[in-house]
Amino acid sequence: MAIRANPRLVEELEHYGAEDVAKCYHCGNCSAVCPFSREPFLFPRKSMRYLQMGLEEKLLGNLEPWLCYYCGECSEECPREAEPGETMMSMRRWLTSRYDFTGISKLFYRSWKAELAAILLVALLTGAGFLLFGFRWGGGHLGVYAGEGAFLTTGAVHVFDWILGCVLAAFLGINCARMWWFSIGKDRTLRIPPLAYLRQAFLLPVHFFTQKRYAECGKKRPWAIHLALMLSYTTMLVLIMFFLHAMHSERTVWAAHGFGYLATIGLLGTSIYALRGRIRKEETHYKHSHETDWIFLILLVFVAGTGILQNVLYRVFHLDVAANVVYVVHMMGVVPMLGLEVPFSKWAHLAYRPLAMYFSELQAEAIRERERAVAAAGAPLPA
Amino acid sequence: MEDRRIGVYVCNCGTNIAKVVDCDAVSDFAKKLPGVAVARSYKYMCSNPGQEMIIQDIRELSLDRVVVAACSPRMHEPTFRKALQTAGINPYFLEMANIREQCSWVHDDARAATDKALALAHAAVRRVVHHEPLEKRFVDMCPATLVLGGGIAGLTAALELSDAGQPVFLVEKDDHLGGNLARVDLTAPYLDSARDMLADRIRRVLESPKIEVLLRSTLQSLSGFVGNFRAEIRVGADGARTVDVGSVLVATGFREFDARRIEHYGYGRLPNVVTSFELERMLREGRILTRGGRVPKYFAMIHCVGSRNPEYHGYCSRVCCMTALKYGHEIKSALPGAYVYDLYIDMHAFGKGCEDFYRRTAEMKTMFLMYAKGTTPEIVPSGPDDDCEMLIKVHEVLSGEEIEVPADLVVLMVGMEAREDAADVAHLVSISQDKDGWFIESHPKLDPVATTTEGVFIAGTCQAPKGIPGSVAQAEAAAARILGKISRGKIEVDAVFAEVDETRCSGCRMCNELCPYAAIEYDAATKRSRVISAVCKACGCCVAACPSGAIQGRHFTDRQIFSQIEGVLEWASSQG
Amino acid sequence: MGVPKKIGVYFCQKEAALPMPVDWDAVAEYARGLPGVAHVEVRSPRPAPDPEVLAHEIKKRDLKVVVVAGDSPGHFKPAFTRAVALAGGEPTEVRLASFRQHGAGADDGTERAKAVVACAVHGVPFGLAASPRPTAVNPATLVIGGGVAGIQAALEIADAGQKVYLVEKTGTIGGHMAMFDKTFPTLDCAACILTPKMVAVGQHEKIDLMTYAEVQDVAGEPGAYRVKVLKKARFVDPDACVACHACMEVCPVAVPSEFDGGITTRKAIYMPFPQAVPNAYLVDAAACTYILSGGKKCGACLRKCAKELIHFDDRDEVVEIEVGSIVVATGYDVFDARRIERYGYGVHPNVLTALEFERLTNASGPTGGAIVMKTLRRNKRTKQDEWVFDAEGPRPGSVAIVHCVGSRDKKYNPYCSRVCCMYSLKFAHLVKEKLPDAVCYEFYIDMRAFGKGYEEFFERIRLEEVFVVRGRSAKVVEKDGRMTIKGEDILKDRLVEFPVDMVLLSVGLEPACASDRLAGILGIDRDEDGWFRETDYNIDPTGTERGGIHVAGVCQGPKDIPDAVAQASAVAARVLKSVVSGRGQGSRASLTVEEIESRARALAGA
Repeated sequence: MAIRANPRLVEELEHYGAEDVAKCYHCGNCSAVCPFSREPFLFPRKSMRYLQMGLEEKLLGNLEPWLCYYCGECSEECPREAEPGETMMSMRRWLTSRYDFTGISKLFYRSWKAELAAILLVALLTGAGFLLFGFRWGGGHLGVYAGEGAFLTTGAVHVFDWILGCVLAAFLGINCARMWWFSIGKDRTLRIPPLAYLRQAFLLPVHFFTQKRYAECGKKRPWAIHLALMLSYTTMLVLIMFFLHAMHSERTVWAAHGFGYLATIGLLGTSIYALRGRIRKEETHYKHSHETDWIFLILLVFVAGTGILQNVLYRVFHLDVAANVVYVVHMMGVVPMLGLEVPFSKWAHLAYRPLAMYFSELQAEAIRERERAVAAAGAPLPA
Repeated sequence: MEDRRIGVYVCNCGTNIAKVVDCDAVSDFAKKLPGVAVARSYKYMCSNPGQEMIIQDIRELSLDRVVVAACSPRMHEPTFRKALQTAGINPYFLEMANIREQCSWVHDDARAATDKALALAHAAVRRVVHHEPLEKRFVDMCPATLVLGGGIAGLTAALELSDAGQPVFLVEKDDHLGGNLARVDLTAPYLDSARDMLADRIRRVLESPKIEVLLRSTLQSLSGFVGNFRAEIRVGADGARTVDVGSVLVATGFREFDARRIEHYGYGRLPNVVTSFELERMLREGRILTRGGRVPKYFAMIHCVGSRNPEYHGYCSRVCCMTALKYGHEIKSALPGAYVYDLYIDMHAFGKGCEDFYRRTAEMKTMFLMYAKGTTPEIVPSGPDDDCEMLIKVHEVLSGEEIEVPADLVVLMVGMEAREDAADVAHLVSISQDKDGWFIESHPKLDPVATTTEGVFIAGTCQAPKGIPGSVAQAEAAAARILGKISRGKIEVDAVFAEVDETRCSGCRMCNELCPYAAIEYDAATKRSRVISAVCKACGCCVAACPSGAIQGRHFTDRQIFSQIEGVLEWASSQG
Repeated sequence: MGVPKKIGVYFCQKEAALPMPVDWDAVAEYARGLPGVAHVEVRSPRPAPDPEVLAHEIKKRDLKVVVVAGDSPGHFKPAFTRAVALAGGEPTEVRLASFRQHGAGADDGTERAKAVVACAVHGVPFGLAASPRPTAVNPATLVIGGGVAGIQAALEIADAGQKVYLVEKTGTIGGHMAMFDKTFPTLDCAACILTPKMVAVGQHEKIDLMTYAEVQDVAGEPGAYRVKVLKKARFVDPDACVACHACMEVCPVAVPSEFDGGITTRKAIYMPFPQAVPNAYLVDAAACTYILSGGKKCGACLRKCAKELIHFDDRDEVVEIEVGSIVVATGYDVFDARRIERYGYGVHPNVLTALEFERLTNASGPTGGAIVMKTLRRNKRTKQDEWVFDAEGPRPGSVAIVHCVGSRDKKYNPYCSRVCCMYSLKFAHLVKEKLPDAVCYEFYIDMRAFGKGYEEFFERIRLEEVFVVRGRSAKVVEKDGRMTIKGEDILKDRLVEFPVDMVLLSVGLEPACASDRLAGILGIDRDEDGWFRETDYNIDPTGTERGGIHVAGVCQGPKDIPDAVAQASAVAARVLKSVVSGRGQGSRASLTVEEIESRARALAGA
């Protein structure tokens, strides 16, 4: 059954940053120099081909963009300057927008104004929410930070965290399910034994916490940076979700705060490094920046910055009022970051990458199985 | 037998000969032959040191006959004859034994090949003994030139010649000048105006006092020989002209491949399948519409239609790839919203500025789809809810997918093929065609515009597919050859031809009918036949045919031939 | 011309890396003043002209003729043609005024551009109106470069009985072709074709051959150039030398042989190759101990030469010649494979460039044509181990040939070098012919087999069981002790890793190193890739902006031997034409805008 080619897809992907893919003349250099490219997943050339030809279905079920970590070797060696690395990045953005059923992600990627507006809106809502509920529940005085009569009771915040967390999880969960459907579920030719899902499940935590595949790339530094950022972020998430009381307690609980500070430094350092890189454009993977990249980094710096400031005000100078105000401002950054970036924008790849590793391993297994079957049947292998 | 001092020289031709034939064995063997004064073998006989070796020996050892065992005489007989002349003996005292084309290139058994080489060398030595001194003769060179074809090649050559003050007769079949290029508007890769360049050329030609343009004209017959041709030309419906010319330039160009021959492309059957030349016209006229009058949105260019496919033509037509890219640019300019695909096999963007043009076409988001050589894309009707006229199904090899692409206008990039009348022309001016019908040059590298018939040259796409720069260069190259001949005033004709011994001729006139070059005339008065030596190509038909053995071929006398044959046989018998 | 037409002139600029040195507004202003011009518009690169909108304008302004002007206006013409058609006008009345085509890239860009526009407005081809003034011509011709193109041009002209000076930089004529073994697609040996021509040049009474010489300065006018030629000292009298090799045998100095592409050495007193023309020795002053030591050391050859032909007191001399025409045929250099590190040239001993392989497989090469791998050998003199070719050395069991090395790559040379595909196929054939059991891989992107008999040659190679891999090989690596070549086999959708004994890099062609200097001396243009620029890509591929100066062969752009030979002969036609008729061509630059405009006006009126 022939697939319909669509000359418009290349134009659409331009919005996601793929501006040079049309230049590719398929010398195959990129796939051969790529440290991650190996059978049955040869990329980036093949993915670029699908994009050039507008084979939308193929691209949608294609996990290869997630297997690419943009070490940049392909782009450096490309004779036509078709920027394979950036093209893969753009395809990740596009896929993110397609996994997302709400269409919000698509809106964000196609118009940074929309994303910015949404962030501001959520920020304002958050602020308003705090002012409203803060007083009612805590009965609070803006001047009291913790304990009785505090402006915000930890409990209230905690409840809010968990509600938000669940909503996000729901969104992300659905998107991940769609990712599975596109890449595995839909393809009738792939037979994956249920056991395999269990057997390979370990891949998820492994890749999530080590990003070890990234380390296979020739350059180690980008991997270190990425890992640090990722771990700091997760640490923060864990602290907020499970150790909020400790975090909010008057005296410094080093067991919790120690991690907190480490994570904050991690976040701040890495995001500033990334910003600097994107401004300087020296490293290949920083040469091209989509609007969403900027927004995300700026948001990150903002959140980490305000977080630190709030701590300093409260713990060093004991300025409860200021601390509370900054806290609200801080949360006005945190909520949109978690609420919008995680399910709908760049941060979603935290979930998609490990999933892609997991799914691709399943795919690979199934493909090998199929080829063995075909070989056994005596028919020639598909070239 | 007269005692001669013969020098035998065995060429290794790098390894061409030496890799199969034991050259030293051959020279050692030759040394022992009667009359042989010296025998040597050397890497490249035709090179400077090689020739010097021969010349020195002739002078110092006072050789009077020379045998060179090397390549075919077609290749280097003139070279070595020149060497003999330089050394001060008659150039016809040379005999070549062809131990390359007839030996090392066609055998791989080294021993047998060497044996054969010995036999050939022996035969040559036996033959050369009987070589007689012959004198070259000179004939006048008529400065006028006959140019066949009024395309870019013909026009260019005519101008070069007339600018040098030489008369030209430009014969064009059509009722206007310009040839195939007249159908073209812009040229790849720079999108320069073909119309301007033709207008320029044509105007110069028409205004040149030296050029006589004969439109609606065809060559009827060509008689004579280099420097002294006579051409019968039919002009228009009933007019006729006879012109005397010294040289003939054939620049009759190509015709486009008939797309109907590839049935499933449906050209002629499907309304919106057109040839490249038809799209060219649409663009030139600014009316780019489907048969139904719609403005097309999807354009599909199918490359190599009739080219690079053994079923039709095995060769590459050389210009279609760039032309297709050109259309890509033109379409995007005329219809900014349109989508263009190129279905190609290999992208031949080899000329100056062409790779860059290819890159820029890609940047314009032309979709390049590669199909495998030997296969052909399939054109099928579109479904009811498609926004296009047709669908093209193709196995796209760069993705390995079976795909279909929407198309409103399918453009078949038809290749070049030899003109239907090429065979007649070839016969008229006695030049040969290759298996594809293109005229054969005398040597692709030594002599790309000359032919096996002296005084007849070829230029442009009648020799092989090529672009405008190539055609122009060839046309000028041919002009250079012709000018060279003209400026020397007289030209040398070979001293080798047939002679009738009138005392023995019975006047049976058998030879007259037989001669393929009409070189024999019959003298009614004396009732004898006579050979017009300048026309004679020394083919030997008449010599063999003459019942009273009255005709002898100079340099191919019975004595020479027989002793050559004896040479082989004796050697064979000596081997038992 | 009759009633004054309503002409619209549209200036359309292309988005180019380096914009033309043209003052658009000045040209536009000039255009306004031309007869019949009703509307002038300078458009910016974006947005591209929209035919519908244009049609509306044209109708509104009731324009009868549209002139599209710009660096390459052809890119916009179809839009205007369609616009005119939509407006119900005459599509043939859309004319082009191309600045690039007509040499406005040079310094006088603006003036030239005005002239081009004027011609278009009058509807006269620029070439016709701007044909240079005729000049008197000195019948003698200077040919620069003694490669196959230079040789061909020289012979064509000399055979017509005209005087030729042939100036060659090295010690012999022959150029790159003399280094080749076989030539594609016919596989006849290069020497068989070239050496007789070389001999003919050496013996021709009409050719004054100056080897080991360079053009230093060119003065004078078209038709009457005065050229200073620097004849470097050979230190050996080329006419008297009989090439007995005695001097070479005693010379203690060994330097890499240029002719053998550096895979063998030659002496300081040397003959480039045995069939050299002139067939005589010369001394490499940069390597000779005697010269470097100011006559204190060595001098072995001096004592050895029986004919006492070696004169170390020879000095470079400058001779001045007067010629009417100059033919530039300076050829090319090959791409330096070291620039692409991933191919490991210079690291792995058995990664060879095309030229090195040509010499290796050549009958007159170091191994007598045997294809062998380099072997490590101790150099007795220098006491160092070095990789050398030894006729008895091991034969490679597998050979990989890599296309497009340095070509079709924006980082190196963006253009296609045109000959590599075919010579690579030729290499594959030679390998298969000499080592039938050897495995041979050919990595390519597009197989550009376009010439007469080329496609058939490609098919033949397939039959010879050469593995033709579509996909540019990525890198040469060391893998468990073996040289391994990596790439993607696109058609099979596999990554391939072949262990190979030898890798041949099909390096592309580059403009000869000194061509920028030469362009300056001659006052001719070079294109963006550095090749000499022809007057017109299509109809004047051999002319230059400077009258009486022509280009031939690869120095104008990559081409194969038949094309180079044809072009060289074409140049001969140009020269002979002027010599025979006694009327040469001046330079276009000498024509003023007014002159061209008035001529165009006259031609249009006529």
